[in-house]
Amino acid sequence: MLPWVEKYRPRKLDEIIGQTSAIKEIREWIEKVKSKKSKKALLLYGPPGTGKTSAAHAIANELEFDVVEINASEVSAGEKLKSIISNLGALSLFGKGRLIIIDEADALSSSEAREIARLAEKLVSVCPIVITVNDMYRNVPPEIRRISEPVKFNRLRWTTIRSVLASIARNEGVSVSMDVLKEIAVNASGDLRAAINDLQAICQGSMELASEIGRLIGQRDVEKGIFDLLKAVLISERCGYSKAVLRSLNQDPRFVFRWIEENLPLFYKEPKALRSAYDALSRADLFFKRASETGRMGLLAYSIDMMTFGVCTSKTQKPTGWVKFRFPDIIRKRSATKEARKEAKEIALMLAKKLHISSSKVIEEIFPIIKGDIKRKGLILEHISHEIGVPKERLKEIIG
Amino acid sequence: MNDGGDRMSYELWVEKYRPRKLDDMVDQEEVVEALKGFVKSGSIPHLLFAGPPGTGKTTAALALANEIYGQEDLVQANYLELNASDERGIETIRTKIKDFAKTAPAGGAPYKIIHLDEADHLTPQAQHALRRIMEMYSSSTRFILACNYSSRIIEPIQSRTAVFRFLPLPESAIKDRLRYIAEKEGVVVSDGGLDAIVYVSEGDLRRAINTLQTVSVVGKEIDKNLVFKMAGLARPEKGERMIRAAYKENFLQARELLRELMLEDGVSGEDLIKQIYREISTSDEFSDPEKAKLISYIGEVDFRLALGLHPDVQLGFLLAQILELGSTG
Repeated sequence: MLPWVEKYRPRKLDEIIGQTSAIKEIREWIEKVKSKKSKKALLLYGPPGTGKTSAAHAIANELEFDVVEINASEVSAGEKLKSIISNLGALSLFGKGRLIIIDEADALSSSEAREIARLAEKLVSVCPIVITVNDMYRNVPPEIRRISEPVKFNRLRWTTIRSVLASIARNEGVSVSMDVLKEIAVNASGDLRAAINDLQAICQGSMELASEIGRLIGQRDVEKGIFDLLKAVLISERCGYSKAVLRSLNQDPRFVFRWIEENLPLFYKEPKALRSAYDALSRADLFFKRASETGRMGLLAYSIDMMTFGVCTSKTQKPTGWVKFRFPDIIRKRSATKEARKEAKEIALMLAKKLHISSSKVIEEIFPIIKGDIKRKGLILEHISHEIGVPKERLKEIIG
Repeated sequence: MNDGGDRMSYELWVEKYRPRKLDDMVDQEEVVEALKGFVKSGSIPHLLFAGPPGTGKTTAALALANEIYGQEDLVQANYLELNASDERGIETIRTKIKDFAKTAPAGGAPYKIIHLDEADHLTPQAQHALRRIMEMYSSSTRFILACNYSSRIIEPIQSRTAVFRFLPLPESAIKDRLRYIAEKEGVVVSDGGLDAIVYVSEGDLRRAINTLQTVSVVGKEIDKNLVFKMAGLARPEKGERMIRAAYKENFLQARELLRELMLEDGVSGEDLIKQIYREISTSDEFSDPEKAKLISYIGEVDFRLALGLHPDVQLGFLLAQILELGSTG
């Protein structure tokens, strides 16, 4: 079965949503290509999942050209381009034009990128080239920037993403509530591809994801299951039973783990019991890691036993009184900051090279300096922006 | 007001004040002498620099390259620096090394130098691969590997390298350096402020300099309070409060403080466990047997954090231990 991202990939420029000005600039470039006036490659840049690759292929469709795609993940992109150049004369006999797409050019090594830029420079007058990158400023050598006309793709608004998701869901005949669609759309941070993948995963039952936003999808079902489990672990004294409840729950154990951890101290008031239960939880954490590190999934059983059976048997008295179960806060906080953390890491990597330290040290030790400086005179910010070639405003957004 | 400090404060001090020559290095006399010997003789073996963070390993490697190649452009062309914790595995390292090593040394230099930092971040298998790479290019390339603990480097590599141990810097040397920089930058640091910077940077000179600059961005007169407020590390008081809350049987409050420290103040689990260790070792509230028991748990938790377990869960466990001690003590 075709992944939905492929199935619903736009084939024409007009089908690409949320990039009006980019599409306009692309059309102007196409006109120049048609009238043989274009001297430059087209450089499509922007965050993942905003339509760059789709646009590149759509351009070929509009021009009715064949596509020669060079992907940075290939072993020697430079070699491939060379052989294309040497074959160009022969191929043009067939009459149909060709469009070269260099996808994800920022994944090329810098020497490769320079090589490609050099070749592309020769090629661009005979054969149109479209290059896609995520970040204009990072790993895109000046040689490539020099030969190309940049077109920016923007992060999509969540409302735009939600409307696409809604129409896909309709088309697939699945019913997903608007709340869930919103949750997916917001969580995708402007990346439509990620959102569509998430939607498909949810509709076709990926546990991890479903559980993360499980509080929205058929909220009552998920919560009822979790509440039953929490009762079995934290209140009941029939501990053997708690294992069975978890097994029948059909939930990612990591998600369940967070629920147990969140609610444990609300129920276990006796220090000895709480200590022993936390010991069990910390071991569940340890065993889980061991299972994933060694790839021996059999080890998961011990982890699951510790978080249910181990916690359950730690209680010294039956909890009394009625307490409301709490949703684990940490899950929501973590996913909200995911995208931001990724961008910070990228900036840190650039600075790490200049400062002869690792990116994690940059985040730990250098970011606080910049953060303070941003609030004051911004002199260091200015200097760094110049050094790594990232605009000040962008740095402020990411670090500040 | 004298505005002299601001005039030059656009650079990062850790680079601005990095010694360019071996002779300018802070402390590490023995290492420096031996490295100067290499420079004089014109040939170096593969080197392994072992020592705690911020004791001069990277600086020594750069200074060595400066002195061997003599001019900036030759250093640029012949010196490659990689950080094992940032490269996505041995294949990336191999590719980068190969790309770099396959051309002849530039400007008539006898060999190129590859400096691989945090080499102890590589798995043993990756280190074996590295060993083969080192051998493959040994005619044209010298390796300088840096690590915190030489014991985490496999024997075959250790035996092929000259091992240099970088000793922890004495507190006085760190303070002298900080005073020197502060004076150059027009910043006034009180003795208490210096003590606080040394405390939060744990003998790591690089971190101490970064801490000094972090604090200086906010104020040109630095005392203990400002350091603790700004240093990214939690003010000891908050960590102390967390421990006390657990000890006084208020677990929920202790866990709330823990989450606040981690999620809002951005303190890493590693920093937090070190702080807890310090607090407990020096606290009057725990008896010696209690301390011994807790330290054994702290050691276990610290190790688990190194394995990549969830810091909030593991530290929660530690708080629960303290809770139980408090209730029985």
